[in-house]
Amino acid sequence: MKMTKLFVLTVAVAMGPGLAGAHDIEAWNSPQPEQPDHVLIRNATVWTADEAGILENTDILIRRGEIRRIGEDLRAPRGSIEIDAEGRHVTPGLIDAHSHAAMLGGVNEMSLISTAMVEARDIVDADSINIYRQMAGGLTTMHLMHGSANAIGGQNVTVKLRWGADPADMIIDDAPGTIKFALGENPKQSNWQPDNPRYPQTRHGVAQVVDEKFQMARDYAERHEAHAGRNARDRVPPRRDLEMEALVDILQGDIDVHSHGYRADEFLALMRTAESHGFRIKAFHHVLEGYKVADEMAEHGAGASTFSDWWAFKYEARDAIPYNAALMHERSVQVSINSDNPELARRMNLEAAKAVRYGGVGEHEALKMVTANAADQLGLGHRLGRLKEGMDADLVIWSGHPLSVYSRPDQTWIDGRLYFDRERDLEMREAWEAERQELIALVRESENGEGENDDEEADDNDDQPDENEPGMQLFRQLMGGA
Amino acid sequence: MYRTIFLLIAALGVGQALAAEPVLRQPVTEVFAVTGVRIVVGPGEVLERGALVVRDGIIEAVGEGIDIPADATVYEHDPEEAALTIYPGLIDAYVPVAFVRDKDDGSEEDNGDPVTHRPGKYPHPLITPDRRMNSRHWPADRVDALRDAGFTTAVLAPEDGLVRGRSALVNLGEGGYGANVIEPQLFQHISLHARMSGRSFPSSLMGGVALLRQAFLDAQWQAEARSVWQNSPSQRRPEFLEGVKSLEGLITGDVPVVFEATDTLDSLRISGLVDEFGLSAWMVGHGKEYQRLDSISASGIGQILPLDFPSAPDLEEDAEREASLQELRHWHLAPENPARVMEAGLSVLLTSHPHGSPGNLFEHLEKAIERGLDPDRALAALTTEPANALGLGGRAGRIEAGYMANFLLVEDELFVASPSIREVWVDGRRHLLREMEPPEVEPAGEWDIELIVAGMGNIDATLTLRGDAPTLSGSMEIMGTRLPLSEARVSGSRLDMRIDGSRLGMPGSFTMYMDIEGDRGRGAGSSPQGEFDVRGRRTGDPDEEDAA
Amino acid sequence: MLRTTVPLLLVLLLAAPVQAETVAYVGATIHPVSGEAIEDGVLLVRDGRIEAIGSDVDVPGEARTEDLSGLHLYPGLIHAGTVLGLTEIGSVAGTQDTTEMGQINAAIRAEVAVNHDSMLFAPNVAGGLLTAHVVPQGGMIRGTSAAISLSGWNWEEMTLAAPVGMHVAFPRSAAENDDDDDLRLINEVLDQARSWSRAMTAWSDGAAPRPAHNDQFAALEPVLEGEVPVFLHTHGERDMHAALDWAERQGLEEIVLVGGPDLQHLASRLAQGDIPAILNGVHTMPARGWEPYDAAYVAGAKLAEAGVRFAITDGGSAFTAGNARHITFQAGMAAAFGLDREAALKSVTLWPAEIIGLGDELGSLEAGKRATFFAATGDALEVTTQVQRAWIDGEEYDLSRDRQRQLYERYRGRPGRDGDG
Repeated sequence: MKMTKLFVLTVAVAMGPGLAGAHDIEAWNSPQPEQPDHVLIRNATVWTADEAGILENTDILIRRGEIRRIGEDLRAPRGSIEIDAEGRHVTPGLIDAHSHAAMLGGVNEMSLISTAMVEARDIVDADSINIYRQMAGGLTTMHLMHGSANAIGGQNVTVKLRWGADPADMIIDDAPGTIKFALGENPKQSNWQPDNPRYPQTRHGVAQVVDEKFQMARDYAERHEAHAGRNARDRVPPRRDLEMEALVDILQGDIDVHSHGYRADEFLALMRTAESHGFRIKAFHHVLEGYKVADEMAEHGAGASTFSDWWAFKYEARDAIPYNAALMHERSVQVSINSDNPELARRMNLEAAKAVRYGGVGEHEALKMVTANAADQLGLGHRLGRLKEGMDADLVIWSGHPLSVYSRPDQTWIDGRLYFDRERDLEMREAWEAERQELIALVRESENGEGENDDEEADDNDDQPDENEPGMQLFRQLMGGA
Repeated sequence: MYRTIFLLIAALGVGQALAAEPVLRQPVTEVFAVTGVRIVVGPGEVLERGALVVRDGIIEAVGEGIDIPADATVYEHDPEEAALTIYPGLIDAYVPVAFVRDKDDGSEEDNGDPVTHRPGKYPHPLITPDRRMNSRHWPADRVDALRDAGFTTAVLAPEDGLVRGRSALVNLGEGGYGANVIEPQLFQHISLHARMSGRSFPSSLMGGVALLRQAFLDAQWQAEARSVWQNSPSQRRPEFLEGVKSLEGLITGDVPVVFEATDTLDSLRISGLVDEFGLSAWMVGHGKEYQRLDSISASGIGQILPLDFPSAPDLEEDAEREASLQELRHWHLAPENPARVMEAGLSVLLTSHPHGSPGNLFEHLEKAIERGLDPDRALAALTTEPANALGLGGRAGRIEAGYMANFLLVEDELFVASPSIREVWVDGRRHLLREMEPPEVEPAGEWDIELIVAGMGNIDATLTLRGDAPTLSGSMEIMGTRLPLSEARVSGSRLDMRIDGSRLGMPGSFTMYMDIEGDRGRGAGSSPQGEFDVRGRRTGDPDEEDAA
Repeated sequence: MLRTTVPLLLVLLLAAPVQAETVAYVGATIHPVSGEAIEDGVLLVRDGRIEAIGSDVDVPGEARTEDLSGLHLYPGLIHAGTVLGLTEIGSVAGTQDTTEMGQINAAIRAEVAVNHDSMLFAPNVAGGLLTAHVVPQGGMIRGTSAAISLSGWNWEEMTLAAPVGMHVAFPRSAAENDDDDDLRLINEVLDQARSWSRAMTAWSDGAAPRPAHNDQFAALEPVLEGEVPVFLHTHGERDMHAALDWAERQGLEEIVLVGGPDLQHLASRLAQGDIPAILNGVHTMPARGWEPYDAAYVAGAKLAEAGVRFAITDGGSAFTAGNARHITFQAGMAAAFGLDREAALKSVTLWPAEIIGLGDELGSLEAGKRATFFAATGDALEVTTQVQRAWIDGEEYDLSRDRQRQLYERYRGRPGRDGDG
């Protein structure tokens, strides 16, 4: 079998030896990095995002993907890979609680007011270059969310940025189900003119339709319970409905609600609707006026996942203030800061830093807004977002202070595997460019190698005449077309 | 004797069979023998010189030195004159066809308020499992084009919708749907990418998947609900969900499903759904299977693979930065895809899809063979493998007694960029593609052409021909628009040319010929619109053309 | 001879700033940008201008002294290309004056539509952004831009310079097609403007009748004469080169090239031609799928290495206008990826000042320049730094005008639910 030298090059690089052997610029060509038995990171400034706070001159021992120990002068088990992080900082891998960065075939199921039946797990784009680029910014987990076109949107999925894995293997298997709700201008279709407008077109309509759907879901659940209770074999069973089943899961606490919303009135209304049906809103997203009803949110138990500073792009973002995170935090709402934007997600550490600038949140607390707090909101606080024993070894080694604009991630680890290594990246980009040049030469060769006639023939075949040329119209007539 | 008849038929157009033409008005004996040919019996099995007897559409005998029946019309070939090889007719396991929409299939919305389509509400215009091929959908032009490319059997599948309907397994002979059907209801066809607009569901890929899930759930419910109700009819009758009944066979595994995958991640998504619902499935591929091959092959789902490789990225001067590594890599690796998928252990069938002109397949096939595809496995993937997959084992895919008389005659090799297929036999009927004689003229150069078309008057065109007889290339220019010739061949002093309409987004082909004497030519042509006369005068010799 | 029909060109409103007081700001670390940082420095301001700066400045007796110990003083940030003043709420059409219709709008003057009470101004001032280059959008010849101070009682008072430049969106299609229709239209307009200009000269010499009024040609006249620079707005490497080629063919000498991180690929050409650039965004994705993840981050370093003078912006859309103040973070990202920190600071202060023709007025803390500066808790490019005070032309800006801060204070003071607030 004739395999050209080039292909061998790409595979050889991808499978090359070394800890970071994996990353290629294409996911499919990036085998999973190995998971060493033990990795010992030495002498780092460790931001635990946990009660232990920030620890100077501290070692982290990772054992098969899990944090085994954090402390001073840890003993290296035999065969450990040791990394000297003197002068560098280590934080938990950053978590983006609101992302659409790796989804295929539409982020919104635009059609119906409730699309609870659709699931983002079906459309994870494991090939998206966003994953690699965000990992290079220290991101290790993202919550891929349905869009905000519907009052009750689709089900979301939480994935780790395991570059090169299949979609199913990126999904965090024990993450609780979450679903997207949306309030305000988007679900009520304020900023465009639909040909065929949909109920509702107002905020009170949105509130009403959510209430109505949960009433329907309760009736649905009762119908199914009643059927199971009676002599089921002789009774026609009620139909199953994937939308209703998702709503019943919400009522039963198996799916957490994450609701997009900007204005204080709508948060209050949704919380009251949820309370009337016996469930809680897990987190409001963007939540620009969250600071106005922070006490009510804290009382309800809703978290807040906010933009750091976006404002004035819509009328409902008029009162958005960059102090939002700080104010809600002060009022005991658990706050995370999200990206909602694939580029922004490459520097979530700096988004957290804005909570220090605006409102004076402590640096460690600010970092928690893109680590521990986000993990908690996604129901993953038991394994993600903090550096402590027993947690997943998802962490970032920074060139300096993690909230400094001048710092860069040097390495990003997920599951104790080195997925991103800046040094390796710098080497690889040379290899990629060499490969690109080699392929360009091959294209040139294939263009020149074919005879002149062949070349012209190729031209004949490639030039698609324009539909509107008169000659084309005449030919269409000749062919009997209109 | 037979030669005159065939010349006559050839003049009527390309590829029409004797028996289908009412030239002789009374039935003719359908016993034929072809002698003096090389026979590729099946992948890797070759008779260097043999003969073939066909009776009533079935191969009666094949071999060296077999008896030729007295009642047979004999086509004697002289291997000294032309090395002709018989191959089994090719089988295309995936030919998507636009089905004419039925009025009652749910796609028509009532006048007045637009209907909002949602999951679980039927009829849904994208859930049409009951659609099937019938004579109204019969794609005569596609059938002709496939046959001209050496295909004798194909799966004609509905090409739009989510659950699209049933394909038909047919031979590619004359006579329309009824004359050619082998199996009227073969596979069910599904794609996850159909979309609705406005308020109707689905508008997204995840919506499409959810719609499919709901439809499968509804099929399960309907089977159960109906059976409960039939046993205990003294209760409210369950609603009958239109179209969903036909999904039951999918879930029980009785009806195989062919998914059309759009990319690597779609392949994985489909594998997941196949597992989730326990379907018996094939997948029409996309050419990037090599990219996540381990995962795709783990599914074990057989692949119907296209031979459609990307053309080289456009590398304009000073714009090399725009050439992405990803695109370049795929350009480079795509021709290895079929071989790699085979090596990964999956069943592979090759399809002419998505080439508008099935004949374009060969150029890509040649490239794939150059890059590691074993020619015998390639032949198997176009003959014996699809025959087995389509339930035609023992009936198609080989040149063997008892098989359908589906085969082709080609000069020399079949797997070259532009094979010279002379005849294609379907169900024992001979379709003459071209009667080849040694070329007596060299028509290369520039020609002023006049097309004399009834109702349209005289149309001036310029014909540019390059290369040496018998096979040329070139284009025809009308009012400044250059139309590439799909084919230009010389036989004797006759030049035959064809422009494939599908490349230009039109159904059918444009064909014409000229008998050439010196720098003059006259002949005729035909298009779906009708027939016309052709006059030509050479105005530039080939040397000038080359120099220019 | 005065061409009274032609609008007055190049209005450089250098009227003396209003603040008539002498103040010595002492105790702070002063970052003049034009030179080394001065610890415990003195910034002496008289009548709205900087009188002296240094560690050892004679403070006159009448001067009021303000102690800014612990703070860092920086020259006001300058946004080199924004729609601030032309937008309020992105999705509300009635608040949008960024984009005129039509392809050729040479006579558009951005400053006349600047809403001096825009709610977006105060929050930006509170972030240290004290000067903005306001640029009209839309079409190919977009009109003229203006440099405005973010403080004033009407747009006329706020306008520091106008026209700063004529803005031309170079048609992307012209990179691949020498005979591009859009470019041909631009060329025709410029040719006609030249003819008109010649006719005007002939008329003023008494040699010909007066040509008909044409405000577009009048606006283009100083551009063609090299008095008003052309800001060429581009997308990627190819059309950047094509735009510079075109400018050469047109004989346009005063050019500013505006574009994304692809500017780095033209670094040596820009340096050789002494053409300044506006880098529209460091926080952007690499333009191409195969490029390294930091392709945009390193653009600033590549430009600086070659010796190009450039300003860093956020792209200047209506969406980013509310946070125009945050161009510092983009400059900081460039610094994280190889751009010298001093140069990064210059890219949002001194270099934009020079590019918009205010290099003698703003952009650094030097004697004779306007006293337009801010005081921050630390490094101006660090996100965690807080801006605490700001002065424009020597007058301190009342940061409580910042509506965001007002909402913050108000809701911070909301009584707690259980009455302990």
